[in-house]
Amino acid sequence: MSVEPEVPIVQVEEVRENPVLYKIISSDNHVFTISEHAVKLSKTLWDLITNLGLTAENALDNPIPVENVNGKNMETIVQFCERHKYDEEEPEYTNYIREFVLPEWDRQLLSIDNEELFQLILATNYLDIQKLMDYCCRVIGDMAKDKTPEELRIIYGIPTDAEDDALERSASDSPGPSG
Amino acid sequence: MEPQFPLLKLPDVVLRLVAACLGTKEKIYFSLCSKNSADRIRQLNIRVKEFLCSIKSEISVSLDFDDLHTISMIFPPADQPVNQYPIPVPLPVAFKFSTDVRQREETKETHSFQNMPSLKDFLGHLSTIFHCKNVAVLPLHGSEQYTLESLKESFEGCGVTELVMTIDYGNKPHAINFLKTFLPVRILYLNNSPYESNWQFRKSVLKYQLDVLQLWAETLDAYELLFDMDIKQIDIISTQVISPKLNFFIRMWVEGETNVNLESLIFQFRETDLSDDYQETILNGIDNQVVTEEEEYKPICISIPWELVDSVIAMYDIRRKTDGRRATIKFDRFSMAVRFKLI
Repeated sequence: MSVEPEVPIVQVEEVRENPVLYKIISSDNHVFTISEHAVKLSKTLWDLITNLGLTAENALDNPIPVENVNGKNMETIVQFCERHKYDEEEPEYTNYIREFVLPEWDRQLLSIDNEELFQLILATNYLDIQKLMDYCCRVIGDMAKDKTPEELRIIYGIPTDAEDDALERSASDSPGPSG
Repeated sequence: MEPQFPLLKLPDVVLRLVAACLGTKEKIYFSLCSKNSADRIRQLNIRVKEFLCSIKSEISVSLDFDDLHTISMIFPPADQPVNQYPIPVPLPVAFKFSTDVRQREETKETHSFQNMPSLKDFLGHLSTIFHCKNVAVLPLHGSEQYTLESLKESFEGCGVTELVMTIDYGNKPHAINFLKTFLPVRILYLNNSPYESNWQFRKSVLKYQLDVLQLWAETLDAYELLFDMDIKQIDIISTQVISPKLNFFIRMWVEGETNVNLESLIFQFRETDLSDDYQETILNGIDNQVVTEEEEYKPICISIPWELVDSVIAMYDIRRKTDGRRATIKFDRFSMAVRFKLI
């Protein structure tokens, strides 16, 4: 596998201390290096690395293309994974209550506009990074604090029942693929 | 207002995590946005241990969650009319919230909503999203101001299974009317029975099928009433004078002639009133075997006599002749009381 990067390689500072590095190419051809401990936070990437048989010796010669994630999101993701690569395992939450306070560093990292946050969540979901997903969800959950249902409807773009019904009707009225 | 976050466009698995990240108050508010959002919260399968509606001059709804997290919503009467009696429900266009998470904090807020559902709709909504099957109603002083019909209508949507009448209402007709309105229920706590005679109690309460009765039987003959109680758990809360009627009751139970569905029975006596041979009085003529190992037993409802025990005095196994069902008679002590338990 050889992909020539069209843009300079993005070096994340924390990466340098770790001898085993992997290269990841985003959908817009940005190349990132990430340490082994950090990449393990992504189940998708680690499965890929394992399945491709990448090792310390051949990892940097075989960049991993990730077509669903752009460079901007990948940069955030690499920063996050490097920051949290040595974290202890998180306590298990019940499936309906996830109570924790977002650390300040992560709050800063995730202080991005809603559209960027939405795209980051999709990327995180694709790469299966549980901790980052939890943190992103916490940010979205925190938007609801001290808001009334009417305000939540606006913040989260929740359609009313009438709007939902209208959408459903128009979906069932629209002609199928055959015409 | 900040730009919208397209929450409902997230994959289902992510949306579920976001919903779980909301606080309890926010979960409820989110669920009020639309049928779809209510369904998202319902799908979290949050279980409520206790759903208690207290009725006083205002109505408060407390939800106890499995993880000790509680939330109380208080529905003050909206624009309470002066000198108008009784006040009709459904009432609130406004309510206060108080949350108490593991005793850490308590916050109170007031919100006014447009399009606020009626109390009836709200209670039905809460019981749906939190999968509540058991809803308890606790009428307190101040409950007299509502019409019973309007209360009944407000609470029928959420399926009341427990009626908790634990105070001395003073106003007996009100208490009796309240019982008339809300019976039958599965579980009835009647700490100050408004009935003065057994026939009244039989006619008004025991005609219904109950699973649990916790009764303050001061004005009633509890021993005599026992035979008419086809109830799984009977806790006679007020202390009784020991009587050979209890021995007779046990004999009838052993013969399989009464209370075949009984799972537990409690009587309480003042220790100072008991003679030295009170156990013999109760067990006289009944085949029994002394036991020392206590088997774990969980009553349907845990009341104080079940919860608090200073010491176990003695235990005896007895057996019903008709089907061989084994039961344990246990005498234990708490404070100044000796309790007889048939388990």
